[in-house]
Amino acid sequence: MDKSEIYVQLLSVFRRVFENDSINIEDSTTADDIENWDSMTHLMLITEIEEDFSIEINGMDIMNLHNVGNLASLIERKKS
Amino acid sequence: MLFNSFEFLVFFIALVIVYFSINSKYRWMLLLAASYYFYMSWKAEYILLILFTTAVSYFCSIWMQSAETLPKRRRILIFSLVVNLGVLFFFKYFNFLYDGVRDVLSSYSIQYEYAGLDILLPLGISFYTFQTIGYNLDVFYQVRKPEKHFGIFALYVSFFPQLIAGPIERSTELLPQFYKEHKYDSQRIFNGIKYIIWGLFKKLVIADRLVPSVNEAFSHTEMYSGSTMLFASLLFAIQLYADFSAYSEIAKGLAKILGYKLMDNFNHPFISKNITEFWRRWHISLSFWLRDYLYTPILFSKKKWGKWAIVYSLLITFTLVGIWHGTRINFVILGLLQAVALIFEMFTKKFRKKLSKAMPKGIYNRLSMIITLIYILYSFSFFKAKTFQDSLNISKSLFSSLFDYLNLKNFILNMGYERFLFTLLLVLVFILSDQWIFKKVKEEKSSLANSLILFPFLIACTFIFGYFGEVEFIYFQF
Amino acid sequence: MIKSIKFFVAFCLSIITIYVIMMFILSLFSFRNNTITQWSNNYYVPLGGSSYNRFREFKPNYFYDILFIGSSRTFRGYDPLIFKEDSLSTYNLGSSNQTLRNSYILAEDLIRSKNTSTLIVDIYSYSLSDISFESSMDLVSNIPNPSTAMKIQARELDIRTTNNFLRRLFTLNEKPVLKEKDAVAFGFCKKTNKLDSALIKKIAQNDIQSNPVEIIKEELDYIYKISRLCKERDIQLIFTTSPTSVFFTEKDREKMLDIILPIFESTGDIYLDYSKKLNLDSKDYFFDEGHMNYQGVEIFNKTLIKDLKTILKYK
Repeated sequence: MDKSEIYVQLLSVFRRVFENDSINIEDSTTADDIENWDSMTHLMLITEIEEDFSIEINGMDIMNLHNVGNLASLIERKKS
Repeated sequence: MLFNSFEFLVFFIALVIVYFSINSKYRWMLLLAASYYFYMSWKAEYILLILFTTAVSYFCSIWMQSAETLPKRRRILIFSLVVNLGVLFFFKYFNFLYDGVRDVLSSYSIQYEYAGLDILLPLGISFYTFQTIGYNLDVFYQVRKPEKHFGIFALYVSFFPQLIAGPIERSTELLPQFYKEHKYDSQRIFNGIKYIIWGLFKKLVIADRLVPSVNEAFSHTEMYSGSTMLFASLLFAIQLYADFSAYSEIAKGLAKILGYKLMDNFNHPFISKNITEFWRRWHISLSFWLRDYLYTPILFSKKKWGKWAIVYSLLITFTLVGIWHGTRINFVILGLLQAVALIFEMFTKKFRKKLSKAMPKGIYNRLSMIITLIYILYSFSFFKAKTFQDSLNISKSLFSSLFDYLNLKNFILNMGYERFLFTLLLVLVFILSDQWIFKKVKEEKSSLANSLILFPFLIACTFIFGYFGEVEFIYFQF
Repeated sequence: MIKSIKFFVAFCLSIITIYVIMMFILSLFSFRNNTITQWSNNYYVPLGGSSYNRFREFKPNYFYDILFIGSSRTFRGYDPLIFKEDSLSTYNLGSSNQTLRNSYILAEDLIRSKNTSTLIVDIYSYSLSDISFESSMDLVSNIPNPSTAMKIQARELDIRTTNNFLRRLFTLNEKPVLKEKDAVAFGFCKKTNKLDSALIKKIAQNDIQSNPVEIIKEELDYIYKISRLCKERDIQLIFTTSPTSVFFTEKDREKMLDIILPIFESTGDIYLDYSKKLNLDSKDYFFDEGHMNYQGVEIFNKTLIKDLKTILKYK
């Protein structure tokens, strides 16, 4: 799976979790940029991504996620 | 050496002069020596503890790096955590069971005495232990590589501006700064001095002046009504805020003069509209540390539980916040109150959003602030109450005598000899001008008017209105 | 660099200017008979008390045979009226908790060979310790000469004393508030009570602990300074320790003497130690742990006069 495909799917997850169709994401997007991003939605986001992409995200991975770019790279790594 | 003492002033000025005179290569040595000297000025033996923690963390991190498997890395991490937390646990909580049990029993009039050892708590141990553990976790999670330079690592653990009471700095933020050269910059130095001036003002003119009245109310909880105790809790909240934020800001100013950037620890917490927001504005370095190193890992380890993972993680995290503060059951209750509020806010998020849309924005916000404030004051009463019995007295009187104004009036009049009314006036002016003044403190380049009028004015106010009996910063006991 | 120095100087000047202006304004306005400064802090000492009259009734141009200086042990321990019976004109210049530093400053400003030939300085371990704050606050408020007051506040090195000095300077028409009930004449204050029952009980139960007070070097330096001052001004200097109660133990006394006797040896000054010599019973001749009552003063002063006559005859 390449980066642009990941971003397409990721965007639909974001829009679903945050219940907002006008959200847009890029590499530098962080929790501060998106309204309603708290630990509940963070948790939901991670579990939805795990399901959607059929991957497992563990504790070690979580600690290094600082922005959406990290997230996308993580997914890319897990899918390869 | 207290920050507001003459010895410290002499120490710091001498340090700054030498610091900017020597080659930047050797500055870490100077700072390390100064930091150890600073720590030993409280008690010489403390140095052994901090060296021990430093050595254990340093060697464990390097060891972790060379470990081939994850389980092995985890075992080394757990070893370092057990040792460092063990030291902390030993000093802080040896009397915990004894104190806790005795406390609860005495409220039921059962006297239980046992000559437990009274071990003196080393200053700052909670802060530097957390800072060091954070580093070990960063290495474990591969957020950063272990620090090879023992001297610089030792400096990271003991850096004197934040050694005694924080802010708790991240290794990724603070460690790299010790490798950079910081040139003499008069603008930056003045900016640091502004932080120190504001911190000293808050400590001497606001926090210390409130000490007699707060101590009086909390020493006689059985005598004072709910109205008085609520008022005293408000004063205590202001005292604690002024005291602790003062310390953090002086720390930030001292570091800034030397060229280092420490994080903000407070951001006008009492304008918070909910408890979730409060913990993003109060003791920020601790709450962010807990969120990143405790709450998040626990949360994601139980992600299958969904919402209940959050409840679980919040309960554990905030019970530990309570316990971090101290060995008394009151502190555990303090922590649990936070957890309960946060859980409540999480589950009612949608409902509260609908509520806010149903009424004018101004009213909803103000109502939220008041409710949040009252909840915080109630929590803080557990912080300040000396025994569990005192907290019970306070809680009882809050429900039974909340509108007893006579008791409150008498309390205020009795404190009159301490120039209490004037103190309240100063506190009022402080509350109204805190945000505005802090903005000027943070400014990169203050106007000439502010530099030559506002800040000298604050110093003059400190001279004239300050309380100059010896009063230590509150968070030292942590 | 030069810009920084200019800024630093301007900054300091600004602090001082704003500080002085604020103190001026706060002392100018009153509310319910107290200046705003006095409302702002509880450490201010108002005009009044025993120091008010004592330093105003003292006539610096008059000749006194002997001047006494020291703490409350001085102004309660040496009665000029008893000395007058023996044709000696004397005056008492002391304040509560006055340490040697303040005694020196007062001596420097008030005592000259034309107003006295003998200065008696009462020495006690407390007057050589770090307790000068109370005395400095009192003197800054009550000493009539503002430049002496300025010296006292300057050497106290405590911002509160400086605040009090400015308050005193800027408060117009301040009326003395406290009246010293025990005041008699020539700076002396009289008390005739005996020891209270709690202290008598302590004596009976032998519950007396040695209470070593830390004598500080700064105060000891003033022994040398006062000695030099008197030599320069051709005034006979005599150090004394007036009678002490049983609460000043032999151990306390030895500790004090170990420190001060060598100093008196090197300056060559006369030291008269009455701390235990007269064997005064604490229950009858003291009204508290540190001070004789009038009955004790009578005995002490009469003895002192006899001894002084012998000493001063040689001069």
